[in-house]
Amino acid sequence: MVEDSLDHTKAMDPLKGDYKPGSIKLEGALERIKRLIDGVEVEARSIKRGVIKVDPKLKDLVLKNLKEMGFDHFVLLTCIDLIDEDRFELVYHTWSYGTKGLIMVKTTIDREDPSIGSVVPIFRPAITYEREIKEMFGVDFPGNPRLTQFILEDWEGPPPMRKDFNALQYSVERFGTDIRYPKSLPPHLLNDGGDDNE
Amino acid sequence: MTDDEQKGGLLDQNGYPITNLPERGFVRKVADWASSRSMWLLWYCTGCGAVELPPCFTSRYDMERYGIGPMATPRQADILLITGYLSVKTLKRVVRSYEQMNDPKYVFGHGSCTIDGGMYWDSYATIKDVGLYVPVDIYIAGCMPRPEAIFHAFEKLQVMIGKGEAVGWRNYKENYQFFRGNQDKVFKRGPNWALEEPVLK
Ligand code: SF4
Repeated sequence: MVEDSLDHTKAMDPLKGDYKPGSIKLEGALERIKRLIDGVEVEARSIKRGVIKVDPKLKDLVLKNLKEMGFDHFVLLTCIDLIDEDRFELVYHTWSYGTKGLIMVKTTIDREDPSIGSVVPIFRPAITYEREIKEMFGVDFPGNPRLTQFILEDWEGPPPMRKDFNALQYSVERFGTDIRYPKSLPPHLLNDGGDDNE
Repeated sequence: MTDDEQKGGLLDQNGYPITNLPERGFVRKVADWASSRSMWLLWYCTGCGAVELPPCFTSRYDMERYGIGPMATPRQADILLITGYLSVKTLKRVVRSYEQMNDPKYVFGHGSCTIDGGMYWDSYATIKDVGLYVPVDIYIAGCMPRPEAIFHAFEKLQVMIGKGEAVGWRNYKENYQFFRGNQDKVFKRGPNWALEEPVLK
């Protein structure tokens, strides 16, 4: 374990800990988060990469604390469609220039009517990522000031990055792929349930 | 344009609209010959094929040898080279640029993406067949075609204009309902489009 003092009283408030932002090691940061917040799972995958699994309600608290500990670069936000579990997983990647480490905060939400609070008050760059995920996965982010239409102009179909979206079928219906070469599309392809890279 | 209206509605064997070749007088023939040797190519690129245009413009292949020069605005351009896949969003801009160009105007479909979608054949975001939305005079097959192929197409276009066969722009007016219907299936024209009148005139 790193030499950061993991004294419980200090760890309760990271700002009062005897470290400067960036001086804390990745494992130390994970350990602090674990002690500060009940019900998080932490895992250090390497000296540069950690994972925190957390309930959606607590993700703001975790991200705030990470930011204060020097993980202040919001790298990106991704969404994964866990269609078998009927959940969406959201992954917030944060990077610390001092530690040179990446911590991923993972949380899952229900696939029916998905919605999760925006992290824009903590990390402003999340505005665009949340817009994109809203369009591509249909996840709502209450609190985001700019959830307007993003890339897909005049889009009327379902969110296209969901795994139950059949891109081929949609493109045949909308763009008439088979008009000129009706024989080029074997029928079994039309019944395919999406990408093979699931 | 009564004679135009009478000619509309012709289809080729694949169901694409075509137009009859117009009768040309002597002056028209001379004018066509002259204009085929002085054309401006709209500097507008979509998709990956755009990377073939700088060698065409510049000294390596030098398209000014053919009297073709790059042009920055659609209103002064004669040729629209569609250099690859078109997302719905880009198609909207292409149609808008095309409608702003003055007659006569010619469209090249460059690359397999413009013919049947190419490697984006099952993409939800890109159209598959440009010929459904704007009339294409010449397709250049390949993924991506080399500048030599583009020059081959330029030469062919000059011959076609000389013979009065490059009539895509007439086709667009005569069969506007066909193209417009397909366009309306994939995108909406915003309130600022405001180009409908000049197209139909
Ligand atoms: S035909 Fe090939 S090179 Fe051209 S836009 Fe399509 S994928 Fe790209």
